[in-house]
Amino acid sequence: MKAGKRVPCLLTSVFCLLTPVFSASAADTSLLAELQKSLAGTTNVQSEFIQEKTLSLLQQTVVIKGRLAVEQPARLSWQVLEPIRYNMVLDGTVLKQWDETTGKVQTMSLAGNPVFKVVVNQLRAWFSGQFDLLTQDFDARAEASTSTPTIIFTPKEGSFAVKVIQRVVLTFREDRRYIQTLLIEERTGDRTLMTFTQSILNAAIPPAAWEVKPHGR
Amino acid sequence: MDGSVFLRIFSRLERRRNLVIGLLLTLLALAGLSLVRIRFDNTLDLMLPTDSPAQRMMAFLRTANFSNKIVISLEAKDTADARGTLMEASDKLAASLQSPLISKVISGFSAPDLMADAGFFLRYAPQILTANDLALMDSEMNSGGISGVVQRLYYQLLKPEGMFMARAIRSDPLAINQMILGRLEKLSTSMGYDVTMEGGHFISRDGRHTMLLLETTVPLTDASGARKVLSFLKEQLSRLPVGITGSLVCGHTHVVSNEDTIQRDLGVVLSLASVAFIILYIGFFRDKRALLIFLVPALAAVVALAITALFFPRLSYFVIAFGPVIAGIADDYGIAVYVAIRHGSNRAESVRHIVSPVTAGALTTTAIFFAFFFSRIPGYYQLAWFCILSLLLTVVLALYVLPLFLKPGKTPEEHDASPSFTPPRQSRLLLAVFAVLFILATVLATRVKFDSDITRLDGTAPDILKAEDDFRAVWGTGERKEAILAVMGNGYEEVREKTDAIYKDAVAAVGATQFVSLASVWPSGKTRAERARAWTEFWRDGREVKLRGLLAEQGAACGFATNAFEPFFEHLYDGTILTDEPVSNQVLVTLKDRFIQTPNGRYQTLSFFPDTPEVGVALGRVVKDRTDAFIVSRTAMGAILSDAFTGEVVRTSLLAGLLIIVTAWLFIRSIPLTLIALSPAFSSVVGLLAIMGLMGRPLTVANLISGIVVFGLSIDFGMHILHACRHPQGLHARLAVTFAAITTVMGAAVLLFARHPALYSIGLTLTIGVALGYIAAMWLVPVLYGVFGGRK
Repeated sequence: MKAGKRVPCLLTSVFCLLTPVFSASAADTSLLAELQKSLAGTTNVQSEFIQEKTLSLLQQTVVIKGRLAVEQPARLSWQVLEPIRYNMVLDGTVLKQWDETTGKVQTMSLAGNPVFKVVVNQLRAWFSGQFDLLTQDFDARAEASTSTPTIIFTPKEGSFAVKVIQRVVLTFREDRRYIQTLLIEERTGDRTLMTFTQSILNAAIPPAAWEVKPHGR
Repeated sequence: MDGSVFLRIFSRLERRRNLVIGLLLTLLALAGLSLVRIRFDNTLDLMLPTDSPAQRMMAFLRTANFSNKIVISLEAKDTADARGTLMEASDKLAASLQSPLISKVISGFSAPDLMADAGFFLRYAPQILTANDLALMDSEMNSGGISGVVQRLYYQLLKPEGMFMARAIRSDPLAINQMILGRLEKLSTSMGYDVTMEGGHFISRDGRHTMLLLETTVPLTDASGARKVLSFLKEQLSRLPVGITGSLVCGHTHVVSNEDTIQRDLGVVLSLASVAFIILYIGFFRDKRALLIFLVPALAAVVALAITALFFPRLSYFVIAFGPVIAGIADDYGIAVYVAIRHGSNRAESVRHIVSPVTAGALTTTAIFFAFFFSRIPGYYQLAWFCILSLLLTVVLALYVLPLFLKPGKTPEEHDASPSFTPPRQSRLLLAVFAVLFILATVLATRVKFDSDITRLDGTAPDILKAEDDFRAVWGTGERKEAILAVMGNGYEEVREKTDAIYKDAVAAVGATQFVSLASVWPSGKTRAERARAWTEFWRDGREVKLRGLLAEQGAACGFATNAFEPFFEHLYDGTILTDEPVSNQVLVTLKDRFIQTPNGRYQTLSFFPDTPEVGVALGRVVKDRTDAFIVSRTAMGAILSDAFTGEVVRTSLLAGLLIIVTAWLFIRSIPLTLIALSPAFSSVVGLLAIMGLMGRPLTVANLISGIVVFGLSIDFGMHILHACRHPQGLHARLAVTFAAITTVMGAAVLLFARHPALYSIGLTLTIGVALGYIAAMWLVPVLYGVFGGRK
């Protein structure tokens, strides 16, 4: 899809519903509110991540390593370092991506790319703790029994997500200031676990994080 | 004619003066009453040649589904939580639009339903994919091709979007769904609006606007209904919450605005013309009875309009625009009668002398409009009826009724036989000067272009046009840049099959990216059955086994499991089972609503393509020999209208010219003198075109009609001056022609106060043209007569 292309209203609407919108039960409201408040105070995040994909279509678990930067309100950087190099920078509604297989920078508008829009909005919502946005199609259950509180999201009946996703589990750090892991379990048995390490909160993000094309390439 | 018939009739009328007055008042009252029922058509449909491609295009646009669409754009002034506020306001507004005038309201789509409905097309991909698509898949079915496929899939899994794509990749490794979705996307983008879907609502890119799409039961031809529906919608928009404003975009605003503009213009023009004529007659003749000169053509026009309306249910507003012009032409007869009676001692005798020349003048002028009867343009036909009836009624009223109300002068009539025109001494030099000017004017005239963009004759108010510009700035261009290929048929399946055939040819001619048709995602039942068979044969012919092997082999190299793509093969033939067309599928219903129409009980499919000359020409070749398909293109419309009008105008002008020349010759009986009489006509038309060229104004439909009238009136002037040259009548003849020209120009010039571009254009052409015709007649005819006519 080309950048700036007019948005297909049909497809936009089709993919719109991929956006999971969660809702919390009353019993968990206080913990959810506490966690949301904690995340709301986070305006900038830089973190490294390890993404482990255990998918039935792959012979073995794939491990993806990379870096993530989120700057409120609308900037997101996603860099994959292994097993291939891939960068994606979102600024507002403009998305740029580069990968080493093509060596090219591709620019597109989120408005014209419903799939990306859904994915990015979801990532934004999770990484910035926008629970109010995530609380329409999912039921949320908080578990604070361990030192690392978790919120388990299960799709509501009738929602589109119910056909695909079994549950999404967010595990918070001990200080409850940010997410430690994000686990997505699908109905097919596939699971994706993202673990965030070396997270730096509310510090200035280096300009290089917003450069889509790596230096020296 | 010795006038004895006139004298006999007039003496009877004189004896029954009160009866004549009574009959006249009754006629006027009846005509006045019937005027209330007259319906004016403010569209340009009546100005298009009957059965021409131009008329077919306009009729198509008028009856097309999108002509009953109304778009409401809501804007949030405050950017904070604009979306939420807009969505709430949109929902409330949609709920309030319960009216028999509104048949459908769409504020967005229910996303979950839409997703499921779009999935329908993916399930039935085997019935949708073409032989080319299968060939494309076949070309990838080798080690190299499948290696590329699995690598692409693997990389996709590593990217952010891969978080949700495992299931899709397993069931669709060849990205067949993308092919279908791409086509669905093209269909939805052909709506041309720059829109995103949020929370089931259409939201603009700037996030500050939402849109509602309405359908009304009121056709565009129903001006009164359009007024009602707009009034209803404006009332609902006035109830929007504070901070939210709404604007309407639809053809109905143009209909109502045009009608308002024309009504306002007619009020202004007719009032101005009345005042100007009254001042002129009273000021010039210093007699209250001179007002009767004005009343004669006015009365005739009212009666002529009423009679014309009896024949035509919808009258073009061009007809009424010619009212003051005709009054300016026809008042000459009343003036002649008035002057004759004032300068005579017996009104019957005074009028008897002028019966013949006045009747001849009226007949010559009538000949101009008589030629319009031979036109295929209904508006010209109406104009002919109205103008001829007006002129003939005026001449009858002026000769037989007006004298009943005038008092004769005290002094007996004296005939002034002194020369009306003295040929100048340097006639040949003046002719040379004229020839140079004529050549220069001809050069300038050739630069004038015909502008067939009929939207330039749209009298819509500027605030509505600005609202539409604002709308386009927010939502994009809509359908303005799309051309349409329409295919007609008597049955649903029949028209779909025809469309499939044309789609195939069209794609071959311009490529699939340039041609948007429902046939690309949901062809006819017959085509779907054929494609389903082709799909089954394609895979059963060893390709299923081959692809399994290739995916297993090449997939393993990228780490894919042996059974990674099993879901694809499990459901490989599911989509070949034919199904009845779903009636509740929101996506299909929406697409059919846009791409299939049922005008006049027939079926019609629409396909869209970029409105560029290249694509238009290529697709024109595709439908060239078909009677069941045609192209509607704004770009092509220009050329079609140009051809239609050029042909019509040339024919009508030639006929008008011929009729006038024959009429002129019948009175003059000399070819050289007839040519002299015609010289002002050619001069005025060439001069008019030259001035339009200098003003940078193109020729429009409106100019063409008035151009013919200018041609005819200029011949009238030429004949009168020539007559005065041949039969000296003193300075009275010059004065008479000058007065006639002034009143005609005055009748035309009041149209310059019109806001409607068509009326203004008519006024401008007639004012300049008639003025030039007068100048040419006064200057050129005596000179030509001096040089060539004297010998005769």
